[in-house]
Order: sequence, then structure tokens, then C-alpha cells
Amino acid sequence: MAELGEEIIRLENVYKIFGPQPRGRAFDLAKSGLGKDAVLRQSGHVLGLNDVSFSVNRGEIFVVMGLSGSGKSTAIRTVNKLHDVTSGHVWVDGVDVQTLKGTDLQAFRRVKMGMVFQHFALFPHRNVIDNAGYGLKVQKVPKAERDVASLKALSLVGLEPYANNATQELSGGMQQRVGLARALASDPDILLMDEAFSALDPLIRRQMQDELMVIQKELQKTILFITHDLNEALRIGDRVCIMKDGAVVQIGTPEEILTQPATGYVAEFVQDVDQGRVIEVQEVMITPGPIKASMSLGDALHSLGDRAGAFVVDDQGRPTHVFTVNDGIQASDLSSALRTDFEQCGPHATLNEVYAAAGRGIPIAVVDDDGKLIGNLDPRHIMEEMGRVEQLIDGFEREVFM
Amino acid sequence: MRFFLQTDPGFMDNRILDKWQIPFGAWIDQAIDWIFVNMRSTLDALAFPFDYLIDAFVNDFLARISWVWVVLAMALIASLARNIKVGAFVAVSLTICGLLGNAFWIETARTIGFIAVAVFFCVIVGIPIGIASGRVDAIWKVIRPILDAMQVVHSFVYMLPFIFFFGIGEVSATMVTMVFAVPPLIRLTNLGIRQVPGDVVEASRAYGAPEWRVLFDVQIPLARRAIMTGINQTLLLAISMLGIAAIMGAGGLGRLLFRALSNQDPALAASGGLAFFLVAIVLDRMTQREDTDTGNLFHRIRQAWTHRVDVEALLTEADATAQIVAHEPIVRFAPIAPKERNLMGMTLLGGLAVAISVFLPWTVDAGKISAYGRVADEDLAGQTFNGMSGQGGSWFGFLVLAFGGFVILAVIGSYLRPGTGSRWLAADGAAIAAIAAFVTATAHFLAQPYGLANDPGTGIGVLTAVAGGFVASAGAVMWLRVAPHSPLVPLSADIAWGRVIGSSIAVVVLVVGMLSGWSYDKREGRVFDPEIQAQIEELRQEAIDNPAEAGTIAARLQTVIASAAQTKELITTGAEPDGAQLGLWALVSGAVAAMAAVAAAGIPKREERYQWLWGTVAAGFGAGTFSIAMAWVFTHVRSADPNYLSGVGSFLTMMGGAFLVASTSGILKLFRRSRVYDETEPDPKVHTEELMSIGT
Repeated sequence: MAELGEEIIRLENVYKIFGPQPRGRAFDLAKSGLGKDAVLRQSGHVLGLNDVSFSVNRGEIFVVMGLSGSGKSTAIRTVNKLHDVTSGHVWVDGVDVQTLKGTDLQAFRRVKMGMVFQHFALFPHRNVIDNAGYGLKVQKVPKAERDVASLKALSLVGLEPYANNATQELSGGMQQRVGLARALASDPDILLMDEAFSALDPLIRRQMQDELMVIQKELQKTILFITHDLNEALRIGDRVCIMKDGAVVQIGTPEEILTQPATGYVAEFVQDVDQGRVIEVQEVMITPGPIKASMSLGDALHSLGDRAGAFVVDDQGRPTHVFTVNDGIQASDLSSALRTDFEQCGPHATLNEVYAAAGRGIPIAVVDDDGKLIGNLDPRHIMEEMGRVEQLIDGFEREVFM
Repeated sequence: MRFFLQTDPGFMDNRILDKWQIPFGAWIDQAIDWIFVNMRSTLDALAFPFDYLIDAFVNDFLARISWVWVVLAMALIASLARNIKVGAFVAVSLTICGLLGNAFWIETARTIGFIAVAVFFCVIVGIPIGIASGRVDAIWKVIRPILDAMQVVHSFVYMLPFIFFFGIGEVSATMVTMVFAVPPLIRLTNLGIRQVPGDVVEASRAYGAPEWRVLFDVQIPLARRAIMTGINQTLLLAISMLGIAAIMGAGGLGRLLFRALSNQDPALAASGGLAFFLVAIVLDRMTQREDTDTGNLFHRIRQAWTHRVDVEALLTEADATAQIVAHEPIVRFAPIAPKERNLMGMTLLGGLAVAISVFLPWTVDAGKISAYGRVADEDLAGQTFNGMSGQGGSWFGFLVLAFGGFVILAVIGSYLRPGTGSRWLAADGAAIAAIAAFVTATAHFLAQPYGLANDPGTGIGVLTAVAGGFVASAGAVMWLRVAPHSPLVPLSADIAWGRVIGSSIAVVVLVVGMLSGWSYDKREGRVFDPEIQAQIEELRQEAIDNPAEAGTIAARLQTVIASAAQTKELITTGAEPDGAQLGLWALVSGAVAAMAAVAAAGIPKREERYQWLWGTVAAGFGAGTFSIAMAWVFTHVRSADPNYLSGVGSFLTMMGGAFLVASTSGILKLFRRSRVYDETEPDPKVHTEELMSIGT
């Protein structure tokens, strides 16, 4: 078994042009750097993928996100050669997929990857278990053996009791579970998920995302996930690739996408996302700078600087008391100003999780696993961080529209 | 100058057209000649499969084997391909075709065979071409204009080359039928393959399926509906080509009709037309898709014609009807109440008596009804006949047995699983069958026996049938009064005048039927009216008294018997005492039915269950009226001299009876056993969403 983290899929300068003469003028125009609209106007060809390069590591969930027409579905289909590329290479496990043909290609598809479709694409004339076992049937696995594997896959998605039902009898969410079971049954390394959850209603979608992450934790597949929903991308993706008009705009972790959007386009997307869900406390916290209980009130106030408050720590570095500016001004000495009713959190907590605690205006202690104080979270900074992203977007908007 | 002075016609002169004519016809003629001379073997090879199938399968097999096998095989195929109901329909329809006569049966079998062969070749050729067109655009681009041409050009145009190459006869007729009928199949197959959702095909490919698997795993199964519609369309068009095929020399009912037309023979045209119609319906029903069980054949053929090019409309129309068939909620039906149980027992008892009666003697010493169609002096004295023998109950016995059996089935069926199963396995079905059995048995009892036969004694069987029928009817009607049935939709608050008018017309038809001929005697043999019979008896007595003069008396006897010989047709109506007087009794039963229908229309009192009860009674007496006439007709089909026929009066009476049933069936169809919706035991599928959310 190859190691996790190693590169397994790589797209290298991939172009895909739709039209009667894909390698003609349209290709030249695209290579010269023209965008999708310009190529369409000047050559009548649709530029599906425009110099796309990205790589996916083993064991990660890599999300390709973009609006319709951004080329994301085309990109995923080049990986199992449902689409031929016009130019470029698609490497999967060291094989250039695009050079495969006929039985080699079929064998490759059977072993390497499973695919999940937006509208489920189940076979309506087969029941649930036969749908799940289709990949194995193609591999000519005998029925009994196939059913064992299918049942296992169905139990992963919680559909074991429905094995003999017709697919039409299931709800949308359950049908997509069958789709997922079908992809898992033949135990491939790679799952291609094309807008897998987009046709489901929001509650079910959320459930399926959670379940996918649970399954992923257990099976450690490489998942190439396509979506048009940024929230979904940020929620489940280890890394996210944002595409627009067939070209890659930005690749990064969800946090990078949120905090450092590469262009106004990304920023606009980011605008609608609930930042607090993604930004972690450690991004915003400041160095603790603890004060000592033995200090005089004046020194303590002085050492606060522009902080709203500071903590007193014990021998092990654990926070015991908090001293705030407000208390300091009203009190006569430091000991009477100290209070113990402060909140604690870990460095990986998101801003949303500490939001309620921050409402009291008292600094929050950021502690590591041992309970040692590693940061000081000022309620004011949380607001500022939120505001900073807003400003960033405003700035981009000026850049884009003015 | 000379140019203008020549006698040659000028450019504007129409005669120039003769001078410059394009010899297109001659070219084709030459080509045909060349093909005929040089490609003889190719033509023979082409004709061989057609020739072989038509000879071996149709002419030497289907038209030769016993009609029973053909009917059974067709009914079996229909039951397997569609359902048992269609199978029964096929069996009855084809049996009627057979009973029209052997000549009609052979042509019926040939027609079935001809259509089957034509459709078989259409399928062999059409589906692969359709699949190829659906998968490869380039092929469709070539096929499509060819199909357009095949459908636009009239069949008379391409008839000629086929006749020229393959001669007049069934081979070229099959080929022309194919050319005409195959395009919709190709179009629909192509369309069906193309309509398969792209992502399902992609899914198959994404799991590494080779192309043949994509085709057989996904594309063909998902295109099945379209392909089946295509086969049905092909069949309908092939049926509509039977006339032209007959012109080209194919056998079958088409030729019969063709002959009827040229000989101006209305009897041949009517019987041939009926067989033609039944065969067409049978074949159409057998190939219809599961969800479209629409009957109107002419509408369907017309539709097949109009949609020959635009086949897409057919699919969308069918899909629309398919969607209307929604899932019914899981319901239970009202259980059997104790007071129902006793009455059901009574009905069952009556039904059993009716059924058993058929195996008891119905007549003694002579045939009662069947004697009308038999040579008069047949000697059956001392013998007894049960309800199913020709001399005994004749067809009355069969019908009474069928009705009695249905009563038993309805009672047991609704006792075991009330409300489920066939809609007629309920109180109203039992009542209709019981009344019909009672009416039929009573008519046999009351019928005037043939005067010149030995006087038939009435057997215990008829009396049992009458008594059992009465008990079953009474029990079923009382059961109706307490059965928890209710209408699916509220009945109209107005008086149903249509029902009144309908049953009045039915009574008029029955009166006309009674006054028309019931028997139609064209035996050229001896018919002994009572006067001659008396003379014969007298002479016989004389011969016994004076054995010495036996010789002369015998000679006189011969002349008297000879005087009875006659060539004229004797027509006896349904009411006159020379006949069985069944027309009269049918009218009585019809009148009762009509009065009940008036009550069912809501004239005395508008109340749903009241109207339903009387509707059921009307339908029962209507069915009985029908059954009387039917038994008469079939008795003569079964056991009479071929020159002794049942008359049009009995046919009209059948129509009148059917009309009575039809005029009340509207109200009966609305009533079902009351449903009890079960709230405590949920349908597992409805709750899956909840289970799911608990599970995660």
C-alpha cells in the first residue's frame, strides 16, 4: 500500500475544447492565453478546460468548486477518460489515463475508481443490491461473492435492510447512498464524486457530508469531489480548487481560501460563507503575556497595553485568574480586580464556537491539551477579524468594479 | 431560317416533351431486367427465409393443426406476455373466429401467421438498425432519409418491383408489408436508445463496462418501453396493410374480404369482417405495453398512421398515462360481519346446488331444445341427459354451471379476502351471477319442447338449478342489503335518465328480437308438420291393423313422407308456439331488468345503496336475458344440422341483454367494499426518512 499523502492524481496543463475542430484555431487561441468567452467569440468552440493543472494526494478529499460552466465536471471526467482531453496529461498512479484504450481502459476503470453522480444514475431495472454490485459484476465476480461485498458496502451507508428493494422506492438521499455503496463495493482507491450531494435537500445533504467524512476516516480513500457549493467545499475538503471559465483560480486549504482569497472572484464567493465556521481561534489570538498576581495595580494596567485583559497563570502555566481593564479601573488593588469566571478553549476551535463566550466581553484563555495558556483571545479581535474579511472583499470589489 | 421552318415542334410546343423525354422509366426497367437475369440467385436467397417461414410455419403448420392448439397457444402467449385477463380475452375471441366456420378459421390462422412472420422480420431487421442508429449518429444520418422516403412513397409504388422480383404471392406481400411497417420500430428504437439518461450510461462506462455491456445492461433495458411501443406500432401498421397484401396475393382474411367485395356477398363480408376485427384486436392487445390497456383499435391504428414519422408523441402520450397510475395507499377492507356470514352461506348453498344440478338429469327420453335442430324421429326414449349433454341442457347447462361456479368463487373469494382481488368477487358479482343462473335455468324449464319429438320429461337437474338459482339469488340480494359497500364517488343527485332510456331501448330491441326469426330452417329434407305427422301415424296404425295390405300402405306412406319434403326455408319467431318460445321468456326477463334499471336510475327514490341494489338486479336479469339467447345460439352451433341455423332474433336478444347490462354497469363500477384506513400500522417506505435520521 502506497503511503498516504503521496501524489496519486495529477492533471498537467490540461485543455479540453468542445466543438467540431478542437485542435484547430480554438486551441491556438486558448494557448495564447485567451479566456473562455474570447475563444467562443473568435472560434465558435467552447473552452471546457483551460490549462488546468492540479494534483491530488492519496487519502485526501480534494474538492473542485465552481459555478456551472466552470469546467469542474469536465475535469473530473478526464480522470477516468469519460472525456478525452484536447491536450495535456492526466496521471493517475503513474499512468497517463488519456493514452489508455479499449480493454486496458476498462480494466483501469474497474480497478482504480468508483464514481458517484449528481442525479444518482442508478440502474432503475435492478434492485438495490444489484446496483451496488454492478462494478463487481463488470469484473465478473460471481454473484454470491458479489453480494457479500455489496452488502458490506450497503452496511457502510446504512442501507443493508433495503438490499432487495427497487431503487425507485427509496428517497433521494437513500438513492445517493446506493450510488455511494456502488462506488465503495469494488473497493477502489479513488472515488470520483460529481456534485454527489447537490440534488439533495439541505438537511439530507448535511447528513451525507457527515457520513462521507466518517466513511473517509475509516476507509482512507482518495476522493475527488466536485461541487458548486462553497460551504460544502469548505466543510468537507482537505484542499479546495476553485475554477472559473475552465481555468483554475485558486488551490488551497479551506482556511487559505477564506482568509487569503486570490482574486475578487474567490472573494465574492467567500463573502457568502460564514467565516466564523472556518477561521480558527489560533488565527486571531495574541501572545498571552500573563501578568503576575504580585504586581501592583498600576503596573498590571500598564502591562496590559492595548489588550482588554490578561491572565494570571500558575506554576504549570495554567490560567487561574483574569484581569480586565474595566475591573482594573474600578478596583483599588490588583487582588480585588482578579476574577475566575473566564472561558477556555483550544487553539483549533472556530470563531463560531467561542462567539457566545466572547459576548461577555471578557478575554478567553486559549489553552493547549495540557491546559497551558498559549494565547489570549480578545473579544474585540474576533469582531475585527470578521470585519477584516469584509474589508478585503470591499477592496476586491473596488478592484474589480471601479 | 430552316430551323424555324422545320416541322419539328417549337420549344413552347408541348410535343417537344416527347422528343426530349428523359427515359427514366426505361433505365429502371433495364436495371430491373438486369437484376432479374443476373442476380437470380441473390433474389432467391432473399426470398428464401420469407418463403420458408410462410410455407413451413403458416401454411403447413398454423393452418393445418387443430384450432384448439392455436387458441390455447395464443392464450398462453397472451397470458405470459400480458396477463391472464388478456389471455382469456384472446381465447374467447379466437374461439368465436373459429366458430364462424372452418373456412374462416383457416384464414384466421393464416392471418395470424402472416402478421407474425411480417412482424418477426421487422423485429429482426428493425431493432438492430434502430440500436445502431441510436448509438452512432453517422448511421442515423443515413437511415433517417431512407425512412422518410419509405413512409412518404405510397406502397403501390414499390409494390411493383417486389411483384416483379418475387412474383405475386405471400413473399412479396410480406416484404411490402415490412417496408411499410418497419420504420416506426426503427425510429422508436433509435429514440429509446437516445432517451436513456446520459449519466446512467456514463455510470456503466465509469465502472469499466465494455460497450456490449453498456448496450445490454443499460441501453436496451431502459429503451424497452420504446422498443415495445415500436413493435406494437409495427403490428398495427402491418394489420392495416392486410388489404393491400390481399391484393398482392397473400392469403388470410384480407383475401376473404376481397372476395366478398367482388362477389357482393354480405354474409361473407360480415363474418370475415368480424373475424378480421377480432384478430386485429387480439394481436394488438397481445403486444400492447403493460400500462396502456386502451381498447379502441381504430383509434390506435389511426394514431399509428398519423404518428408514423413523429413517433416521439407516442412515447410522451404513453408516459403521461403511465404517470397517472399512482400508488394506492395501503388499506384494509371492512371485515366480514356476522350477519353477512349467514347470507353468504345461503348464497353459497344455492350456488353449489346450481353447480351440482348440471351433473343431474336435465331431460328424459328426448332432447328438449336441441331437438329443434335435429331430424325429428330420432329415438332417444328411455335415456336421460345431464345439463352438459347436447340433448339435455345443451348450452344452458354450461352457462348455468359457469354462473354457479362464479357465485361459489365470489362467496369464497370475498370470505377469504374481503375487498381484495377482482372487483366482481363480491356481493354484487355473486348476485348478478345467481340471478343470471336462475333466469337461464328457468328459461330452459319453461321452453316449449319440439313438438314432434318424443315428449321430453323434465329432469331433476333443471328443477335443482331453478331452486338453487332462486336460493342463491335471494341470499345474494339479502347479502347486498347488508354488505358494507360504498361508492367511490358520490352518485349524481339527478335521476339517471340515460339509464332509463338505455333500458327502454333494450326492451324495444328485445321485442323486435322476439318477433324476429329465432330459427331458420333450410333443411331440404322432410319437415313434418302436425298434419302430416297425423297422416303418418294413421297409416302406420293401418299397417299394423291390416298386415296384408302393408305393401300398398307402405307406398302411400312414402308419398306422404315425400310430400313433407320441401325446399323452402322455415322461419320460426321467438314467440310462436311452433318454436321454443325463448324469445318470450327473454323478453319477460328483459322487462324485469328494465324495471329494475328504472329503480336504479333513482326514479322512485334517490339513495345510493338503493340504486346500487336495483342496478345489480337489473344487471343480473340483463345477463340472464343475454344468456338465454346465447344458449340458444350455441346449442345450434353445437349440435344441430348445419342447415338449421339460429336466427337474427336470437342475435338481437343477445344485443338487448348486453345493452341492459351495459346500461347499469356504470353504477356498479362505482361501488367497492368499504375501506378501513389503518393508521397504526405504517407503510415502512413512508417512514424511511425518519429511520434514516435516527440512524445517523
